[in-house]
Amino acid sequence: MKNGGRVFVLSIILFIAGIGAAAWHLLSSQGDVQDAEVEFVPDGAWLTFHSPVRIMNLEVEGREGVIVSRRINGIRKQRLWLVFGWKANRDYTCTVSTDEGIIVVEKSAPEGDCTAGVQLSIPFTSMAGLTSPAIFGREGESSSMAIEDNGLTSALIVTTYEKGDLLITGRVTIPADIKVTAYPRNPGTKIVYGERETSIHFRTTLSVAYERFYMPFSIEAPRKGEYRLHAGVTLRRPDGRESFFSRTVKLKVVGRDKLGETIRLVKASMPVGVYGIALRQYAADTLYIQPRVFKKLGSFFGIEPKYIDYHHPFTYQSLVLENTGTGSISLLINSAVYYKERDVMPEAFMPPDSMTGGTRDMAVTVTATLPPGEKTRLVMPVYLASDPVPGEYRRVVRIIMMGSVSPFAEYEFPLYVRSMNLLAWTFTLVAVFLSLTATLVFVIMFKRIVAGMKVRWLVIISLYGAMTFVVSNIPLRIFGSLVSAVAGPFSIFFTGFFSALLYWTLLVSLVRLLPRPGTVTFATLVRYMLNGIMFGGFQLADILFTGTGIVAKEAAFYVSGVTRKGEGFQWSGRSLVYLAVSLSLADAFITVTGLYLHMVLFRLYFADWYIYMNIIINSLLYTSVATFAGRRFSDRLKWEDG
Amino acid sequence: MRGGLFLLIFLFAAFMSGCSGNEPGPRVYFVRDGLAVELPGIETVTIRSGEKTVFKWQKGGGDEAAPLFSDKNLLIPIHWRPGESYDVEVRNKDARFTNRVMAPLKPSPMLIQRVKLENVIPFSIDQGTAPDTFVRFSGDNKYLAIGSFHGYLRVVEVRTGKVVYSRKIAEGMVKRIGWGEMDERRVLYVGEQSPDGYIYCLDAMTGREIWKYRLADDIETSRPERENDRYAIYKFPGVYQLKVLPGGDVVIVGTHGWDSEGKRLYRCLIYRFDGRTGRIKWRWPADRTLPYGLTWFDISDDGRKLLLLTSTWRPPEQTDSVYENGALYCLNGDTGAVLWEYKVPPLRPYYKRATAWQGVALSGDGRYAAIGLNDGRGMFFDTGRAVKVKGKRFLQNSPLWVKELGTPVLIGDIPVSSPVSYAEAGKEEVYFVLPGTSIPSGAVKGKVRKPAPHPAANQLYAVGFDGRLRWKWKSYGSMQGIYLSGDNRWLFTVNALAGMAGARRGGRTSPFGITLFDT
Repeated sequence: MKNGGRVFVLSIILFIAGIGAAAWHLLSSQGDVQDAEVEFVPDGAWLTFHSPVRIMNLEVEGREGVIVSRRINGIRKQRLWLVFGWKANRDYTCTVSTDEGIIVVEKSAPEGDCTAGVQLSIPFTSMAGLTSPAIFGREGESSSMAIEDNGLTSALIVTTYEKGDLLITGRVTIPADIKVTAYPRNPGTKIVYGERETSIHFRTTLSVAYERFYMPFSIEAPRKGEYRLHAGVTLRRPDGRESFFSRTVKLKVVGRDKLGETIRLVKASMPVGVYGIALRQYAADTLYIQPRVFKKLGSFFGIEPKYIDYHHPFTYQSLVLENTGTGSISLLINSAVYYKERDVMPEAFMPPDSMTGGTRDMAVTVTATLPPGEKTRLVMPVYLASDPVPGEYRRVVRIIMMGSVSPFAEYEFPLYVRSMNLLAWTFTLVAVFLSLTATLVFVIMFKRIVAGMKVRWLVIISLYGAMTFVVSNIPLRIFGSLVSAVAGPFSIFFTGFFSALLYWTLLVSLVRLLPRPGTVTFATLVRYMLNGIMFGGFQLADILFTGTGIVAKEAAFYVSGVTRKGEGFQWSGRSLVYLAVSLSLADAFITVTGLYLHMVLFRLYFADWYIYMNIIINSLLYTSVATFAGRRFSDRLKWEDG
Repeated sequence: MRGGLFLLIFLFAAFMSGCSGNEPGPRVYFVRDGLAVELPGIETVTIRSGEKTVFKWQKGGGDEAAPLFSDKNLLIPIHWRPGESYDVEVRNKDARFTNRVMAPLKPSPMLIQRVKLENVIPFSIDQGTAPDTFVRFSGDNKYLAIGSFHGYLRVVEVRTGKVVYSRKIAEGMVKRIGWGEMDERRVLYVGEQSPDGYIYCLDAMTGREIWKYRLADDIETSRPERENDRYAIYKFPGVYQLKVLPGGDVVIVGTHGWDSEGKRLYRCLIYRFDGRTGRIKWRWPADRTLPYGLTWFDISDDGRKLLLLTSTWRPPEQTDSVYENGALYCLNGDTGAVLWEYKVPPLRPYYKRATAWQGVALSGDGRYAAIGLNDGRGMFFDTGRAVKVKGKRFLQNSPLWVKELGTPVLIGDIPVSSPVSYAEAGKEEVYFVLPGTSIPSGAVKGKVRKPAPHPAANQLYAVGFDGRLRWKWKSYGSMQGIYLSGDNRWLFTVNALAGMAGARRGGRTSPFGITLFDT
């Protein structure tokens, strides 16, 4: 009966758990089902989900029944193009089966037939997207900006989306004050000059769906002011039906200075990451070039320099541009690195040939469209084809309005190239020396060190070594990237909690338990081995760092008297302060050695303030606190041990 | 009491499995050649339209017209029209299902099998270039050969999805594959891109080697100039095009282009091998290698005419005394002799040379030829129209028409063009694919990211032999390659790249897939 009751209770628990799990499953999957947006385009519709979703199949249903039925086979997509013919103002229902549930979207097709799209672009910067309503409407007006006395490439584009001979006629009218500097060369076009305006007449036939009439021309406005340019386009179908499209562009012509005030470069940073996030821990405007001897050393030890493929940027710079105007503006942003004294680009800074197509001036240029009243961040690559001579250079950024030739603003920033850092060299050599010496001493004295250890001690040391790995290495491995992404260079405040505070607390408590030379060495080796086996890390930098760390920590405990006096060490307040100072100095040395090893072996050039911050927070503050915390922690352990 | 516990556990498991979201019924959807029905353990299918039974299928009934894949995917060959309704009754051993389905305007693709390849990572995290993979069905569509970037060759049985074998064949990548037949055995011709650049003839069902030929003995091998060059593989000798002729011979182009001390070097050759023995029947040029790039050729169905275009991105480090760079050559497929040539004039002022990628096409009968050039021009030739010109070594031909499809237009002061990267010739029309936008080399000051797409970019043109545009299609992304079915009716192109880098950066994927056209 007793057994029966236990089984009964167990069954009830199992059942309730099952119900709960099922309810959670159902509710969570319902809650996760996301919405989707439908945008109609001439040849169907685009379906956009807020995040990628695994789609099983989908259907589009209209008044006439199922129009689209597609099996997607669980492919993960965020956007999906559905090909079908839709009719204006009709309702369509889109049903999507996903791994998260079923999404049903109802949407009415827009007005208009989308027979043709008409785009008048002054300046011409890009083809309008097919989901842009501006190209299908009968009438459209837009505004743009130009610089006086500067050529502006413009275009009229007519695209048909149905089959059948479509006669396209019309004209583009340009105020007489504006010069037409390059005429369209399309057959069937002619220019008529009037007193008040210049007209470009055109006539063409488009006969198949997606066929496009593209009529480029260039203009130049000699004076500031506001002008209206207009295109009237008539489409005549084979059955005689006609459609008329009207497009107007209000062109504001301003002086170069005025545009420079409207578009401002408010911030420039280098180096930054690929997404433009500033790498503040590295020295600003500085590139660190690894000394040749260290390249060879690194190559000998199998260390790959961080950037070896010159087809990829050495680093990036970010530019924050602000548009204080009232309209969007498209720009070309050009960046080049020159010698300090002359406008010549050193060969080392030239982008790879495959990226430039062998162009004459090797500046890097990107395009950007700045919305009004907003700041836009641009990320531009900085290439290094070979190692430049260390010294000072100029980084010149030019801003050109799209469609124009000359820049309207130019900015200059210094660029420092550094190579050999005496301090980094010194620390690296010291690290090499200490590691080699420590290894030699350890190998020679191994028998004596082990012979002096009881098995129980070794077990305790191993346990502590493993604990330091668990509380220090694992959290950093799991959360390190996230914390770095969120807090940037200040992530050491968080990571130091694990790597310094908890670590030293455990180490101090261990040494209090077993105050002998070798305790720290064994605990560090256990941690190092665990880290190497679990996450990999048997590399030169790790070996040097660990070797130096062992020597510094053993020395600190010895000098402070803990391992020198053994059981005779008095854990008084004064001794503790002395110990905290010793350990802090040792940790500062280890931290600085680690940073310099990275500088020498991986070309990561850290800013001085970042190095100081590391020393103050990690080494002095956290290590000192950890010394006291370690004693408190070991008070309890001592009692248990005793 | 213990029995009660097991019962409860069973009920709980059953309850949970009911919540797993699996759809119990069959999936029925319309595909190009009929109706696809998916149901594990499918046994019978009956399709009715109104009162009339349109099709009836029973497992093991010997109906070869309705292939069953992996015991669950059935393709029923019926002709359907948009808007028509069908009642579909499907049975497996457990249940019977009835569905009413209405035919849509356009068919859905049918997933027949899914084959897992090696794990691949993008070439470049910044650019998202996908590693190459090559697939080729056997003539009877029973088997699929897959060559991978990591050098693996797999042969898969289409109906079951079973991998017949998987074998690492190349210290590089498997670049091209062709199916052939020898003594009523299936054979595979496999071309690799590797330091050796082998072409192999293998027993298709076992992977056993029958013969092989090392291209590097002719077109040289090379070493990457830099360590860790991600693109080093493309600088090794490789088989860039491979065609198996009806008689069993194999024609390939061996391509080797690499950088050495700041120069771009090319060594290329066309070979015709005896498919049975691997003996070279002819090679072009016969007595030396060509110092220009050859990335593609096309050959008529009977193998009697072969078309190629010589081109280099940069000035070649040496020139040939007989053959020109940027020239179209039509060869006699039986002998390798030049039938005619056409020196393609560069499109000034933006281009100094005419170059092409895979834009070389010959109609099946060898009568017409089309080329798509990187400067955006498409050209069409009558291969029988070559004439003797005084002072010229070979007969000279010229295009019947030239289309300026993607030639440069100015966006700002930056000229952009849309290369005609792929071409194909059908029965009455030629197809040109313009996958993207480029900036003419040397035309611009500064390294410029393309400011905007060329108005003709991402488009597919179908142009009649008479030069009139028959139809056109605009993709929403880039396009890769163009493939025409044997009967010239079906045409497909691959849309865009999978955006692998984007996917790695946080799950964003760009549109990708294929688009099939009924020409």
